[in-house]
Amino acid sequence: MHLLSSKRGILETAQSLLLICSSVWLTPSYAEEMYGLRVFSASMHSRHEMLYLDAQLDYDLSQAAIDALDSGVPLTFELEGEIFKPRKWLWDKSIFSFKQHYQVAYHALSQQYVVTNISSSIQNSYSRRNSALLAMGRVNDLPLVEKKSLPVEGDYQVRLRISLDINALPVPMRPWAYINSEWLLASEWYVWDLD
Amino acid sequence: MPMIGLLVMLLISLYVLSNATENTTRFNKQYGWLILLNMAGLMVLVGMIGVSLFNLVRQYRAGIAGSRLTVRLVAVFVLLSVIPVSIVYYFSLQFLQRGVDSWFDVRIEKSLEDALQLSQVSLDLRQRELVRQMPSVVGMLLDVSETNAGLVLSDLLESTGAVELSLLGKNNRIIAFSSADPGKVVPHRSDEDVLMQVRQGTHYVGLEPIRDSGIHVRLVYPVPAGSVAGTEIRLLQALFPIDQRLNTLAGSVQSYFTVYKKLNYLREQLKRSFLLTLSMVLLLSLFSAVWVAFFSAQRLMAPVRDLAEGTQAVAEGNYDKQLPVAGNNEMGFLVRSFNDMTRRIAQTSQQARESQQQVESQRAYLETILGNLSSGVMTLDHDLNIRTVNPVASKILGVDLRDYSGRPLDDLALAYGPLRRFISILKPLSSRQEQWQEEIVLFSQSGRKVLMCRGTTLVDDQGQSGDHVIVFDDITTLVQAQRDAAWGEVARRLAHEIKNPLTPIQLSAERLQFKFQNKMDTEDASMLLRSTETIVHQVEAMKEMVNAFTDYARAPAMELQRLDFNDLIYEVTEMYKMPELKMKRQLDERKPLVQADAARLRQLLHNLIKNALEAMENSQTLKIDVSTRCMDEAGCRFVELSIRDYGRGFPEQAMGHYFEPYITTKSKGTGLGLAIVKKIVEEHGGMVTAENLPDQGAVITIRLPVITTMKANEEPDQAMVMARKEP
Repeated sequence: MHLLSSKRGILETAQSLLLICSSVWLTPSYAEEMYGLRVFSASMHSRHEMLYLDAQLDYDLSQAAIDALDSGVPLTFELEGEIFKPRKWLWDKSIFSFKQHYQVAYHALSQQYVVTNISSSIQNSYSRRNSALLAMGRVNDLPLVEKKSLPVEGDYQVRLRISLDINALPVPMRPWAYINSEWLLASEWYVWDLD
Repeated sequence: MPMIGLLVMLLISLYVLSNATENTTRFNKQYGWLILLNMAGLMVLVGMIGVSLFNLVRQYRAGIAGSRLTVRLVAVFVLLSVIPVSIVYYFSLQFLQRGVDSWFDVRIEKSLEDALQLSQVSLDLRQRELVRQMPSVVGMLLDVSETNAGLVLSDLLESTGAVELSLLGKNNRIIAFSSADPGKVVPHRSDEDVLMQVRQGTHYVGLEPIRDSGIHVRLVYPVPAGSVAGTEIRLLQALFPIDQRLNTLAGSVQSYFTVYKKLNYLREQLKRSFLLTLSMVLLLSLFSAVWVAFFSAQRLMAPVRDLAEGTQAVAEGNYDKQLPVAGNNEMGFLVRSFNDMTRRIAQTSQQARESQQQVESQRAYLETILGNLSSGVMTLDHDLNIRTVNPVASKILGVDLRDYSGRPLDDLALAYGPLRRFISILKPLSSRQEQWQEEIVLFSQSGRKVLMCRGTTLVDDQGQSGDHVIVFDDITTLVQAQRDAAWGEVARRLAHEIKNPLTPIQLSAERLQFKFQNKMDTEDASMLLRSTETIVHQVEAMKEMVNAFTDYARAPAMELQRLDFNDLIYEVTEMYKMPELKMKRQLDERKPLVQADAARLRQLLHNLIKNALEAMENSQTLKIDVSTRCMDEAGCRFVELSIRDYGRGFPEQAMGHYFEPYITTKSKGTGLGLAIVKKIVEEHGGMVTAENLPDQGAVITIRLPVITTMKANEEPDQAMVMARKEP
């Protein structure tokens, strides 16, 4: 569910360290319950000289996250991806990277779960939480980059992952979210070759 | 300085952190960083405190000066800071808990929920109203072809007051769409679940928040398949606005409800978050205080430590120690005073050293003077312990007196027999207050010595009787010379005044006898003969006497040589071998060697034997005992010759003057025999005594210094030392 990446910032490394420490004493009572984020599938397709991303994301929220959502706390997820050239001895060379933010929030008056693509401001409402999460997990035809801006030669790979943006949580929640595995929700990198 | 920087930085970050907790958007994003930064700062502080503590413990264990006081100061500082901070922390915590809890109230929650429900109810009315008019609307869409649908929808949009209408076909394909917003090309999609539900034949009505335009009512209504063949069930999707005022109010109720619910949910997290910030503030204050306690205690103690080290240095005699001046406070004053003190001590000790050197040089000067004096000088304290002696004193007394410095005079008497007499005379004299002068005769290995001693008691500043100083000169030679000169004068006069007329007297008497003997009658002639013979005999005797005086006065140079004393005695006594004389010789087998003039010693022996014979003139038995003995008395080696007769003995009235000229009890003799003996003995550095024996007769004892196997001209002192080493 969480991968130590060499390219992550210090903050996240620290978070991971804190997580390792805290996992000893902050083991949740419903640890058996499966939760976590996953990139189920992902692919690229091109149309009109443009690269588009299709992906199926799986949001299995922890109970803590669900409680927070139902209590009116909006949850923001960050989809980040990168086209890179893998190198053996050096760090991978990044060609293009992107980030998308999705937010799900509960609207008490209408009793709807409102999913917003923050980048595109598109907003949809769902009466059920699962529908909302399912809808949020469907990424179709996300335009990324013009093909001509990418180098022609060479083998490239794409990686994608989805994570809960703790920095978008209300401040009082953050210190605990940083060290609580229920809140450290992030998928592993989903990597595939770019055709 | 870096520490102050760190503290300021931590304070600022804490301020920012607390602001972030209160949801100020400015620092919202950096919240994680701020926590990390503060934790790192606290870690640094803890590390520094740990280092300080470790150092302090090490110093304490090593017993370094000031460490105990530092520990105490640190403890006091820490206590002073920990207690109030902890109290404030405790009450803040209480206040925080209650404060946060007081935000939430069941009544408020209930009223908010009621408000929300009220909103929902009022919106429900609008929804119902809309649902009621829907069948007529749907009726207008029955059997509408796909091409006409758009136009119909536009008409309906106007007539119903909807903001958006869309007609969905099979698989939710959009058949037609109409929106009040001309820029909008795609309808707001409904939830798949809703569409599926509606396809079952029911309708859906619900509220939906639309971005930037508030709450709308969404209606999804099935449009039944019409009479036209091939038509499927279509779905009408409609979005209706609600009253602007109602929208605003409901929106506001919704947002406040959400905020309240969120806050309620976050209550514990909020408390924990505040607790975290507060704890960080507490720890920062606490650690800063502890660190400041260490820092200030050490700074405060630095001059004290310096002072302690300085004092130790001064105690060890290092007066040059100057301490670094510690500020302009009382401590600095103390340090400056200490520096002044050490400077003065250094000056004083320098002066003391100088004056000591002066005293030393004066003492050395005095010693030089004393050493170069021809007189022996000895000082005694009031308990008669020897204090100082000069080398000449040691030389005169024949003892190295330096070894006896500080020891009682009696020790000296015990160790050196010959000095016993000297000391026994000296002791009563030393107790006298006034100046005294005494001539003391000393007999030692180097012979008889006449010492002229003068002494006085020193009077110190307080006028009390202090030490005694005794100055003595060896006047042996002087006395000898005086006596010799006196007797020489006597002898010269005798020779001159008496000897000259003797020959004419003798010749005249002989002529008288020769001329008148034959002319007188027998009676007269015999009387003349007797008289002239008497004159001649007496004159002869007088001549003899004058010759003796001449001999005495004449003092030819001594011809010293090594002699076996026993041989000499043997040789001389052989001459007196007579049948009627019983001569008993008992000579020491060790054959004492003496450094002497052989002729004079012979004369001495002759005189002694003659004296003995003369003493026994009227006795029936003539008997003389001659004996020699090697004596080793108190380290002083000498030979003792005793000549004992069995005669009358010395007359009691002449006691003490036997050896002076003209002291004689005998009918004949010059009276110079023993005087000459004494003279010769003294010339050889010896001593002569005479005494009557209780049974019969008298004994004359001569002691002469012996030389050892060494060369004859060695110093007597050294000879003595060597002699002492012999077994």
